[in-house]
Amino acid sequence: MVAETQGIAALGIDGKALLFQLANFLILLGILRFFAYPRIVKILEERRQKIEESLLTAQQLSKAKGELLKKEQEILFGARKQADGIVSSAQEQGRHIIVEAESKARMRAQQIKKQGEQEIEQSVRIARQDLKKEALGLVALATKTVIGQKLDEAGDEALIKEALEEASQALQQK
Amino acid sequence: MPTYSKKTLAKGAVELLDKHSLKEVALALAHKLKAQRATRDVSVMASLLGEELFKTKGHLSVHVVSAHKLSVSVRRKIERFLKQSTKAKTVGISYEVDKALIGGIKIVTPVGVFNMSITHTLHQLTHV
Repeated sequence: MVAETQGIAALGIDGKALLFQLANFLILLGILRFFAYPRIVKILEERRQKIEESLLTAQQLSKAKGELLKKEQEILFGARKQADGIVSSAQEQGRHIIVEAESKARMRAQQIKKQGEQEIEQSVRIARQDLKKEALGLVALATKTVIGQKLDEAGDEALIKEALEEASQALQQK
Repeated sequence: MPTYSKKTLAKGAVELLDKHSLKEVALALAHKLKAQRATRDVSVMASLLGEELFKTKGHLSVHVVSAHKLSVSVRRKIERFLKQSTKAKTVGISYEVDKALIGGIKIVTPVGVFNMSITHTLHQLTHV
């Protein structure tokens, strides 16, 4: 006798087997839910947090990089400005030193010139004095020789009397 | 023994001349100078004595140097000149002949030298 098939069996599906597989599935689902899912979710959550942290760090780093770049530019600008100032100051100082040195050299040259002139003047004066002294010495020597030969006792006495008279008159006038 | 200055010694010696002879005073002064180890200053002492004599007694002691021996008339003229110019009461003159003077006279007094010699005039001429 041919048994008649009805319901889902008509579709070739074994109901018992289906129930058995359903029960298996549910048991597996339950096992996975209680044991595997929490760990997987936890791992995924941790992973997500790490990614978020990394993204945040990357953002912070990017921001810090920007700030650093800005700061670097500022420092470079300041340094350039300072360098310009130093160069300008050095140039100014150099010009000042040159002007001062020129002035000093000019003054020293004038001093040397003046000193030289004074020395020449003094040498001329000394030479003149020496010449005068020598001439006077010669005159005195000549006078001495002539007078020494010509002056006798009588002449000397007359000379003394005259000198005494002159001295007396000079004293009376005082 | 106290030590006196040369000026004080000269003053004391002149005062002593009123009561003692010149020889005694000169000896005493010589001893004092020797005691004070000041015998090198005899010429200074003589000059100071002359100065003191002139100040206190009005006596002028001078030394006259000339190139030739001077006659009496010139010597009198010199004495008159000295009395007149210094207002001294008495004048004591010692004479010396020195040919180096050539001519004229040099009068050395305790207060200074009055040089009227030709050598001095020539010397002045060369040191103008």
